[in-house]
Amino acid sequence: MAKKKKNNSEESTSESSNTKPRRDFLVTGGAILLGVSAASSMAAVVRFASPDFSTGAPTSFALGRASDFKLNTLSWLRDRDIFVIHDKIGFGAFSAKCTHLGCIVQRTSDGFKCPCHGACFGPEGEVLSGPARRDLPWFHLWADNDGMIWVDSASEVAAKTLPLSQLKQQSGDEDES
Amino acid sequence: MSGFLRTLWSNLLAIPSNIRTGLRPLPTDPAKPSVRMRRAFFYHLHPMTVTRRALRPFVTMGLGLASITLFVLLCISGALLMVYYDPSATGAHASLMDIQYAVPLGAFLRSLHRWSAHAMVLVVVMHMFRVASQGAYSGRQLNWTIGLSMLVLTMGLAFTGYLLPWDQRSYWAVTVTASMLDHFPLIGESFKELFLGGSSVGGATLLRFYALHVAWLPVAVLVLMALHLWRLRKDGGLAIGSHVSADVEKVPAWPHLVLREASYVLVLLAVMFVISSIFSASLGGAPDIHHPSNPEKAPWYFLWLQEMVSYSVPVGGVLYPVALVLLLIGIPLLDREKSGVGMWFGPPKAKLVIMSSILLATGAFILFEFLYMSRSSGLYVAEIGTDILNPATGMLVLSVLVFFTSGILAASTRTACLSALFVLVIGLVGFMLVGVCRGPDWIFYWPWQEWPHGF
Repeated sequence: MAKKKKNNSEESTSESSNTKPRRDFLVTGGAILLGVSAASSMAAVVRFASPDFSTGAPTSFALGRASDFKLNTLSWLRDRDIFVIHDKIGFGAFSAKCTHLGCIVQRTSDGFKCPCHGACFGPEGEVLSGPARRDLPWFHLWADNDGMIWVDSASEVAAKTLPLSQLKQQSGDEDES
Repeated sequence: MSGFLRTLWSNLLAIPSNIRTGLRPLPTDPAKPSVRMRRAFFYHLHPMTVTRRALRPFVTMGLGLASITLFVLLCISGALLMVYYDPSATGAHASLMDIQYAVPLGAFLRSLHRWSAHAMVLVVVMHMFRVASQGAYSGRQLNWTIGLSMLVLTMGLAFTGYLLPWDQRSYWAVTVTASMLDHFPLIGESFKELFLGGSSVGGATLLRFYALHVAWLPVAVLVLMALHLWRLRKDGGLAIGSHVSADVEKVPAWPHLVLREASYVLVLLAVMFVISSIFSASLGGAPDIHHPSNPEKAPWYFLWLQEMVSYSVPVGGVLYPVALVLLLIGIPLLDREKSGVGMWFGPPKAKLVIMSSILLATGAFILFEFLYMSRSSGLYVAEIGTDILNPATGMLVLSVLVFFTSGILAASTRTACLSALFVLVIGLVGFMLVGVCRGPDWIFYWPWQEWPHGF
């Protein structure tokens, strides 16, 4: 111990210049390590709060059989916040949630209107006027072999109705993938 | 043996007086107020002596003390409400009905909690503007930043609390406010899903908001509040520039300051109790999550944002709020002036420039709104140009112009910052008031105008 102390005092000038970079390195390194641990703890908290399961209603669900939807009508599935169109080409489904601030749009004589802030949409969900900037999104549809039509409200598609036969093919694609 | 018994007997006899002195570690000698300040917890938050200026009511208007008082009041009333509250989508509204109609004093406690929450948001915001207006952030960047963080936490507390009644209004107000995040680029949507626990407001949201409301946010506020007060002491109490020569004489904090504060707190409590006894907090029906009312509005402290988002998403939802937040965070960096600290709006010349900016901003705001609304009878038409030509852009551009003009006129960075800040704030208050006046379909109605039938 005594010898070490002596060494220290002898080399005090040269050592301070020798150990300073090392001390700086340790301090900086320690600070970086602390920062990284803090950041990864934050990431862990965010990960914890973002579960892989869905806490809400499932995004995919059966709408009903093709025969449930009359030709040339628009059905409102109230509990799903979704509109289903059956026209002479086929079937399509789009969201009833306003793209402005998430209220549920209501049908009018010439399309849809959001009751919250007055956004107006055309009969196929296209923005006509008001604060909304995006059209109502259309959803991916497919039909299973029993003729049951399914929707995935998490996957958006271009706005068009598809014949039942094509919906069945999409069902086949789904199975392969 | 007999010595022991004698001592025990005399100790037993002395219990009343020893309890009194033991629980009250205050000096019995009134000539030594300093000992009192050092030994009692709530007194030691104060400095030993304060200037006579600090006793004047309009120097700070006691806004910081009011924030703390309201926070404590909210903690107590909130902890009591927790006894009956059920944070589940199926049970929340029913438990609110119990509190409102069946629990003794439940309606009063609810009202007290709600009005104190609104008051706290208002008071914390006013506290910030008091500090800004007096340049009191100068040389105190850490405490200014802590204060801003507490403002964010206070708004978080108010907002998470807004959902808890789980009635039609609270459900849709939170839906509408959270949906504004969808429009914020890059992080908006994932941020929203993290807080909502899904893509829309549901049972998971209620539980998350409840956890934030009763645990995370209040604890964070408590920690920051302690830091804030500690920094205030370390920074030397109320900010005061060398120019202030009046009332710098020092007096002991006890009793001059402490008793004034105590009476202030009591008056504030009395006001809150009276308000809560007269005005009952509203409670609507259980929410219909497939059928919003018309119109649905965000809580007032986010209504300005909703009004601006309905003009334009990129300007109103992103640029304007980001500019405001950056200016607030950056003000101690942009303004390094040491003089004039502690004077409302600075020296007379700066005062004149800032007041002119405020007048100009008010006039400009009315003009912008008039032009915008007369364009198509109040209905917003999605046409090219509204993203750029709207009142939010107008106020934003005006604040930049005012920043440079008033800075050059008064030759002061503080005047520049404060003028620009007040232009943005006049816009913010104006947008909030316009938002309050919005009726069905987001059409503007004066408060004395009746809404069409059916709403």
